[in-house]
Amino acid sequence: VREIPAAPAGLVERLRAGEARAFEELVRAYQHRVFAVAFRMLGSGAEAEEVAQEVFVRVHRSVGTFRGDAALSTWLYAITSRVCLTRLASGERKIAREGDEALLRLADERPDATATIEERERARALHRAIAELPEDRRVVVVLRDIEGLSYDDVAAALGLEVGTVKSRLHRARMELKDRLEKLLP
Amino acid sequence: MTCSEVRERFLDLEDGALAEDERRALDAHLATCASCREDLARYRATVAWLHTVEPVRAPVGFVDRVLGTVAPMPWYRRLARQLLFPLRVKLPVEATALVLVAIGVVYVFQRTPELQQAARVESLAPGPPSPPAETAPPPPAGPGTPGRAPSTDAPGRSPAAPDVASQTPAERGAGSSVSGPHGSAAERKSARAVESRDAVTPGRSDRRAADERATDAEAGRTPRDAPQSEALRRPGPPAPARSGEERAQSPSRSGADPSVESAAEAPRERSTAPLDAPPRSPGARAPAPMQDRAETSGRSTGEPRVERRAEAPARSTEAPSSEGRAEPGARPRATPFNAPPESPAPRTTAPSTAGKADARSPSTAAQPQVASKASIPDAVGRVSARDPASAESQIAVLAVRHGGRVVSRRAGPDGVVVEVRVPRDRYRALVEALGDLGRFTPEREAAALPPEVWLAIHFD
Repeated sequence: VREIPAAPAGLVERLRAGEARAFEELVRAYQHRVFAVAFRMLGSGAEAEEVAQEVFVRVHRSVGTFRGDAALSTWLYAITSRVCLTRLASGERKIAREGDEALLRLADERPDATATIEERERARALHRAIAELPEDRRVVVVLRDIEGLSYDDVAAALGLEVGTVKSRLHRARMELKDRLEKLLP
Repeated sequence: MTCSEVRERFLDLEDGALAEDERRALDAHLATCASCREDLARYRATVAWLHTVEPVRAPVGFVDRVLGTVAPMPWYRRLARQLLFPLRVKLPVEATALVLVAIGVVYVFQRTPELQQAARVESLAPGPPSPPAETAPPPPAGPGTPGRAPSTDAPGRSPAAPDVASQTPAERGAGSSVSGPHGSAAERKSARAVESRDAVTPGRSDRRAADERATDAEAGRTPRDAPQSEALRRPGPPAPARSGEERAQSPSRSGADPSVESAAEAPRERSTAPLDAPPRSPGARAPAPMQDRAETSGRSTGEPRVERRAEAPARSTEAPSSEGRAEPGARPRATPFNAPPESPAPRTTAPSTAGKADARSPSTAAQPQVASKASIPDAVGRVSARDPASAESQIAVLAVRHGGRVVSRRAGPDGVVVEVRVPRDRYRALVEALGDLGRFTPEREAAALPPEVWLAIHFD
């Protein structure tokens, strides 16, 4: 699980002050995480970029209202998750879902050039299994098991109770276990 | 602890969040249940696998695109973005804009007479009120002249040869209003609208008829009541009477019947003689107010159209008695307005019109070619030029340039009228070229143009 980098000191204050450079630093620091969550949730690179841009635009607009109760990263994940779930729930997804194809390409584009065919197949299967999870469970798995957020942060980002987060995470893991049973080591 | 209870605690077990007693109970179950042990192993492997998922990276240039998005934009770009970017906003806005544009188009159309005039290609410019044409006194009765033979009327013509040009505009409108092969749907609709309007508003056509009579009078022609009786001079059996509505509803009989269009090539004959000559009038002329109305429905000039009727014998089967509905008190009509000219029946059943026709017979008998030219142009327009004389002189050049020719020139009641014949495929180009001479206003145009379009141009 990747560790979430802490926001640079004073970044929130600089953002609140409307410093353009501070916003650029924010985007550079969190672009991959925001994009990754959107991509895992939507399964489309183009749509994920669109959502990620929308997330940062919202941050730019509303950073003045950010109280700082939660970590800046949690706030970003919360916005990203909300935008993704809203988009998934709405009928606005005009962009053709690349779905499995995009995720499978992602599996093939792993930097590990020495990966065997079997490893690639396993990676494709995992991506497919995650993509096929129900959205409410998928977002928990993405935030918790892939992005490495704590239960509290996931609960804060999704506006859920920690118990609900654990319950959804457990069901998601059990479902993945059953789907990937033949490929598990 | 059951297997199900054990599996429900896998997550807490992995997180180390189980209480001590729960942990002991779970371990005791796992020690005795191989299935749960294997399941726990797979669960742990799955979680471990999830933790090794490769991170996804944002595409190159993403930061620049984001910064470009949030950069201050001009107000118009912000406005456009707000209007167009969110789909839930864009769709209603665009739909509303579309509706507004449509309303605007309709409003402009209704407020712009020129547009309406252009749309109603078959309609005429409204004229001053005048007595109904049907009630106009017929010309003095004279010695009756039997209908002329078809051979003299249209020598060399083949009755079976289709010729759309031989149709009057009204007939063409009727023919094309529903199923005519020529003309667009809009033209057919326009023609149908004009015909129906004329059928129910006799005053309108009456005014036209009066205008035409005035034109004829100024031009030294006989009054325009000839069309009523021209049908009587045509060969062929008299056709059964049919109402104007029937004619309108069965256009195939007028527009598609080969015999109808076999009439003849009268336009070419007409083009060789002065148009203001009195129409050659045969003897029998049945009163046909509705026929006159139908003819005037597509006419704005005073040219008589007698021979057009005579040259379409088969059309006599169409709408002959439509006048009965529009003018119940009209003179007795025993013959369809398009009745064959050679039919003796009209003469015997319509003595009044026969006399009227006889009044013309001397001149028409002496000038057979003149009568064949008595018809209405396929299109009528008006040129308002600063120097009408100069514009008029350029008509011939334009006509030749577009493959046509000037067939006549005469002084009408409201100016000079130059008539041109031009191939249909060059007609539009000629009309556009007329705009160079001055302000050209199309006043009427047949729904289906013949191969050689007969265009009457009025010069103000």
